[in-house]
Amino acid sequence: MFEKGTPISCIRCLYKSDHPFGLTFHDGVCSGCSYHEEKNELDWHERKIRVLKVVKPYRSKSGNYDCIVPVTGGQDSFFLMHLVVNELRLRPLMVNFNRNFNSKIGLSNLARLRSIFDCDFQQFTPNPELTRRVIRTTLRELGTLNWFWIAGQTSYPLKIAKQKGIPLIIWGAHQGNEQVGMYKHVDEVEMTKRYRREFDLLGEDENSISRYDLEASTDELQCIRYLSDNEIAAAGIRGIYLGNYFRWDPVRQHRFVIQNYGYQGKSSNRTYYKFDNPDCNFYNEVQDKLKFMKLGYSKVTDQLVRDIRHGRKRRSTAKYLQKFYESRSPNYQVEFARWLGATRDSVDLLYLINDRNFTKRVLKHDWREESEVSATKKMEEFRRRVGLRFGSTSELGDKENSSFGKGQE
Amino acid sequence: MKRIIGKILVQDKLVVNSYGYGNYRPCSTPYESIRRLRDWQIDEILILNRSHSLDVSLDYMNLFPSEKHREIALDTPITYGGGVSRASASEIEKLIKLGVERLVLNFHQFKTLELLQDISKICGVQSIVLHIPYIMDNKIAKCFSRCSESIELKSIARELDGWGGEVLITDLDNEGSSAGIRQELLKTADLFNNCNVIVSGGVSSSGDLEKIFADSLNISGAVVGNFLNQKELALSLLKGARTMKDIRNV
Repeated sequence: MFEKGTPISCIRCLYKSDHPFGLTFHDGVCSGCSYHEEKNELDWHERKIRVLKVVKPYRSKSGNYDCIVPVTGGQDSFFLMHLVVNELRLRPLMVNFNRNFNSKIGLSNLARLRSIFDCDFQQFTPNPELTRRVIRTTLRELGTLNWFWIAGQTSYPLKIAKQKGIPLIIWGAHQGNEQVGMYKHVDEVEMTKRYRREFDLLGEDENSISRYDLEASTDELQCIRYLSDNEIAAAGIRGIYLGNYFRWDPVRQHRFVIQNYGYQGKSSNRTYYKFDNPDCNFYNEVQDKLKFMKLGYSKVTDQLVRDIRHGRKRRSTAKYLQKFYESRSPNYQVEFARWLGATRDSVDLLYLINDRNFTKRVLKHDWREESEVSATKKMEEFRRRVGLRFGSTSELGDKENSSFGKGQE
Repeated sequence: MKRIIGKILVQDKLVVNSYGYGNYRPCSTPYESIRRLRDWQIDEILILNRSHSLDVSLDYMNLFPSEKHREIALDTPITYGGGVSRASASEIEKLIKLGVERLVLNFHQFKTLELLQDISKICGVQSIVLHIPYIMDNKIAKCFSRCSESIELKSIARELDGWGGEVLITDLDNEGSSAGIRQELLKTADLFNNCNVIVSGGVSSSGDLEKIFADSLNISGAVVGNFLNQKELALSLLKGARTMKDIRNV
């Protein structure tokens, strides 16, 4: 959704009109900031009463679970479980799609989540080699290493819902709302296949991804298949977002779960905030750099925008921090290349081919047609010419907090 | 024939959720929205383009990434509005050739008989839909237009009744609301006895559709906007499934 010409900036936060989700403006204020203004106007007590009515028909009378809660070792899982168990008084089944490259802190958080809330937990671990093969394709074609995991994390709960007869799936916040204010809180937007395909999976679902030179068969991708409309209808599956009913502030929530449940974070080179996605070594590092090259902004911008909207930072301070962190080199590049079965230089090549300004600067033809050897030579030439630094190859990152392979305890 | 019409409001090539035609939130792209409505087999798609130019055919083509993507819009009847009243006859012809079946004009264009005659010659008067957005002003329904003074809906209804095409009435104050339709919307539809009426504004449940399509009313279509973006299988829910489990029986 890039616009030609200079993107318009929001007068309050750091987002611009070329945000990949789209952004609208009213008197210079973006739709995401408008969405956050609603949080000061809503009657949250009334919203809680509302969600209790929504979930009431799903309370099991036969001893089955009341709902499914998709969890990870990071993000909002702890607070989500706190709301489901302690506020809504539901009996959940936690589910997780193993991303296969979890950090030790992420595994520890997940274990703590299971023991603290004393709820049943079900996990699916895809074949690690399949994971690598799909990631190589999505890195090349979509510029992301997260596609496969998101496809699984958003489809696995539905499969379990159908298998076990648990129609209600409860999520935390709707990312489209929290970032760009796609809907109003009172619209009570729910989980949809369209949103998953268009935004979570960058326009390509498990059916369309095979048009690329995918190193995986259709059968192998069954593990990330989203249920059909008929299957969803027959099982009565429905996915709600608690962000529509509880005042959502991830930073405040993280403080709460750190204090009450021992949630742990992990430092990153590219952001000041250590409590988003500590469960993945690559998300805040290599993936973040890729995001920056593709879109022109990083995760730190999302976090700064969040802080601005919740009144924790001024825009001027945020702009300075944005520039500082976006220029920093990612960690774990060597480890990532090793895990992927690629060379360290390949990681630099990925940044280059996903750079949205690349064709303007250097290219006259498509990099994808080049062999890796000649592409590497061209990249070195490019580096010398423009003086770019992607980080020393001797950087090994924090080995104590690294965990690769199946990612199981 | 009673039909459900999915509304796609476009602004700067983005599909937006609209609240009272004044507050817009980004939602999707035209291609993905049309694709989803087509998959649901909706009766008709209404595309209203707020960011229009004089080249309406180019505006329409630019909604899609490529010609191949545009083919998706051929499966479902498309009604298009946005800049049509200022477009030339040749542009309108191009638009029709691209697969658009009906055109939306603002109601005050009814006075520009020459324009209506030109469009009628190209695609027939039944392909024209006159859009009448209204607001309630001291309990009186008044037609809203940026180009002219607001006029009482009753007097417009007297002029337009029986004109040959269809009339689209939008309850502006309730547009985008998830609270359901208001009774005033149904009363305004009653003002048109001799032409087909399409209603719009707050349709978000099967109960709304039951009220709209009650036998006593001359309404032929109901426009649904934001609600179709908010729920999985939203159209099936609108069609009367009391719970998600009933959807297979609808």
